[in-house]
Amino acid sequence: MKHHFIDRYSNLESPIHKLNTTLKLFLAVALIITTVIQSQIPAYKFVLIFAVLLIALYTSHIPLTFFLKNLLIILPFACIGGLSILFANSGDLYSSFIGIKIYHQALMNFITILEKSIISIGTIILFVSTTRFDHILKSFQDIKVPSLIVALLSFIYRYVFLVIDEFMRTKMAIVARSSRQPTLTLWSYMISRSFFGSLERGEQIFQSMKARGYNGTIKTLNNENFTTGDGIILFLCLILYALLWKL
Amino acid sequence: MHIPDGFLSIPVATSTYVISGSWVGYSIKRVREEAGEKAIPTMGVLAAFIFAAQMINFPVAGGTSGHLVGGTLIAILFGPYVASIIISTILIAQSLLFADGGITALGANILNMGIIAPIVGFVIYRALRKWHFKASIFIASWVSIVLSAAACALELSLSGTIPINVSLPAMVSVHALIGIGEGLITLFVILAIEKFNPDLIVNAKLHTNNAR
Repeated sequence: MKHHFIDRYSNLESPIHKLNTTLKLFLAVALIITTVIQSQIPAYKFVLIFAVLLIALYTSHIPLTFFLKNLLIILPFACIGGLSILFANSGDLYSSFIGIKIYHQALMNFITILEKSIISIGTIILFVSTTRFDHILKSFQDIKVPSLIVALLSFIYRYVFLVIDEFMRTKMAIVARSSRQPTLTLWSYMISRSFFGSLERGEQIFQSMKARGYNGTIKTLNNENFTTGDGIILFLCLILYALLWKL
Repeated sequence: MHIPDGFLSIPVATSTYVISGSWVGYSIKRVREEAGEKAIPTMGVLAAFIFAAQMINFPVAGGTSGHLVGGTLIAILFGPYVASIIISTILIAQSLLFADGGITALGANILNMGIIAPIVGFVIYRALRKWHFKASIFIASWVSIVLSAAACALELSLSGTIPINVSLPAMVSVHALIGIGEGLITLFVILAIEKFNPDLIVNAKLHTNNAR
């Protein structure tokens, strides 16, 4: 299994990677909330927040191209709903092109939505890229997220690779025995066969896990303690967020 | 239908978090009582399967695309409580791993896709299955998607982001087409399960107090 599209850079060594996971989760969510609840985000404030993200990115050794590529892939999906805001009839007329009118207030609202989306998506990309998924689960467990949700999240992570592998194996087997393009019927067989194959293997894996002592508790090799460094980062970030709030 | 961060007002985001949290908490209690540990591996594979299936988009119209939600599919097989838990978990994973759906809008997204879709789909399926088994699966899936989209439009208009006269027709018309894809996929998957592995449906009945 060679799939690393989820947390590709989470195993790097950097000061950001070494931060306590619960602290990183708290800081990421707090930054998103601080940004989202503001009615307008002036350009200087947006630049300041984005600069903070870029500094964190540089410190974490994650390639800028990876960050921007992911941001540009996700951003259109987030903003597609915002297009209707752009063409809303509100405020003074800003511009008119081939019969399409854009009003000043609508444009401002759209820009605000765009800024909020860029910051929240950028924050999530940074958080996921600097944190191992098992540490995120451990953090969820520590903050008392229901154990069934944590267990299912861990199984999604484990089994999504299993499902993809099972599908690729079934597809390869079918394509190897047929010279034609797969028909709709063949596709439904492929999907159902890979589903049942995944179910069988999923059950076997679960039994193996239980045999080796799995009891639903997430355990990591290094127990993350809240260090003095974490405390300093928390203090500095809280001051920064308060400044962003007040600016 | 995944609402991003910044689209919802604080009252709408907070109230949908409270509603979704309460329902998911109740669902977890019910599933623990009725199924216990036995259901975990099956639920895990189902969650991973729906998670993977949601990555595959099919073309709809005007350059837009849609993907499977899967709420009705799981609700028909395992009941609405299991469906709510699985879809909610998938939405948490999507918002955390891919920024697909905002962290602050997670409550609303769970309400639309993880609560309204499975409950509506399950109720319609139960009401129509004796009339026509295949049609009931398709109609249940289609209506569940359209109503979820309508709820999403309502939340956006209540937040003052997009007026209801814009959001409702836009969301419902696009999702009426996406719902056809959802209905066909749900139908094919359930028919395939009935044909190749009916034991799964028998087990699902046992797990969820005669869900079917």
